[in-house]
Amino acid sequence: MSPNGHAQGERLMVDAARAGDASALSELYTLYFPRVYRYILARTGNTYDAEDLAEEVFMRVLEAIERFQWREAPFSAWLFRIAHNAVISQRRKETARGRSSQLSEGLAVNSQGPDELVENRLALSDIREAAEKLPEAQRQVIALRFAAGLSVAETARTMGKGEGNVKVIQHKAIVKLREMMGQARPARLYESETAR
Amino acid sequence: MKARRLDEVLDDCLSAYLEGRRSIEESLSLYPSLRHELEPLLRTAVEVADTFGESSPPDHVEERGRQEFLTSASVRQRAKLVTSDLTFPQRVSEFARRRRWLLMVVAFAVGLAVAGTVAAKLETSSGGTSPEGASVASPITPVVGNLRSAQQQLWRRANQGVDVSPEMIRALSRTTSALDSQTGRFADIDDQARVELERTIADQYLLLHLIANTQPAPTAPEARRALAVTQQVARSWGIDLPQLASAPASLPDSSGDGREPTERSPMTPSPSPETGTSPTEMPSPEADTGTSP
Repeated sequence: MSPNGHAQGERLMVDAARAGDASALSELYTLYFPRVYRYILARTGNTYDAEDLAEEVFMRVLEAIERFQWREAPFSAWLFRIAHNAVISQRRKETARGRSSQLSEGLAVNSQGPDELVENRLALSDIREAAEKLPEAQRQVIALRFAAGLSVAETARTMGKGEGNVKVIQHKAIVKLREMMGQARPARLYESETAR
Repeated sequence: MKARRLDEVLDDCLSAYLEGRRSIEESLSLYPSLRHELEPLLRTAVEVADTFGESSPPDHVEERGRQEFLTSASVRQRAKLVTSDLTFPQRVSEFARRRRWLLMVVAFAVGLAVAGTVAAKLETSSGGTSPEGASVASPITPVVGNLRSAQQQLWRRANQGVDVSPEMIRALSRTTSALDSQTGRFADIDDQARVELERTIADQYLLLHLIANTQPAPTAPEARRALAVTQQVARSWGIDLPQLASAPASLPDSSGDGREPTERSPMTPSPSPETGTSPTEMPSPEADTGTSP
């Protein structure tokens, strides 16, 4: 489908969902739930938080969807701002409780064997640890672009920045991630090999 | 031609890869002079994107979330229809009509009480036995009033996104049980009172659905327990409750046979009184839904 056709299809679906159409709501959920989950996982590194918060985000969507207006931002940008706010709220609660955000031991990744699971967990752990050290804007761009799968234009609208600015932030983030992951990888791989 | 900045070239290659338009190799061949600088960055970015892309939510989590999402949507839609069907003057007149009815019942109850007292005095003085078949309307009147007032308070709080305390739900449950035990045979009640009781129970059913699907724990599990009580009362009175588009995944099995509903997903929390569906708190709708940049 062309970008225009896709945008029009999404607009019809969102408008129907706003009117309470159950099948449109279900379609919206199917389309966005995995992306919201991945975005939150990228931001928190914890599958349990990602599951709970993704569900909470959709409840918030339900509460706010009637107030959504097309002229302000595309739907994806609006939705991921809600997801971002949910992550921030969760982080505040955790800070208040004194709990640090930890990567969960049991990262549930569909259709993977134990070896793949370990590898994915390590890779995710490396990426997550490296991303944690990035400035907030860079972390946000990485999560929106690579975990949520937003385009540069959608990422820019979500963050309230220009597209050129997002490209610059993305470039800097990848350079830093490369440096940090390059340092972490050999030690992690050694740990993984000896653990097996 | 003005040389493109590296961040733009990097994004061009990345977008093409993420959208499935070009492979990394194809992109690198388009920018041979930048290959040395571009390739390691693209490999890192692709590793990050692929790693995140492989992390999907477990199927049961996605399905449980969908059920809760759709049920909550259905309850909201229903609640909206119930309130939006009436214009403001109609709401005022409906409120007055209900109050008038209550006043009439209260007057009737007071009349009965006076008559009863007089009869008892006459009976005591004459040493006779009391007549059988006393009306069932009088004892339930204050209980219906209490229930309606509790419901109105809860509607207001639920609609305003204010947290509802589990104690309020427990009180509603207790009042419902008290009403049930004081009503006696539902068929013996006069038509008008029966209609009012049916409305009260149906409204309560919708209200508790709304609360069960929008409030955080421990209120939501309490609301589900109250729903079970409400359904039990409706069944014993033979009242048809409003049909909702889809039943909540974690509604308690109130049939009393102790079996688990078969359609529940394996990871759906147990509907037992000790568990709730969502451990996370639900902020008020206005809190941070992010409607503006």
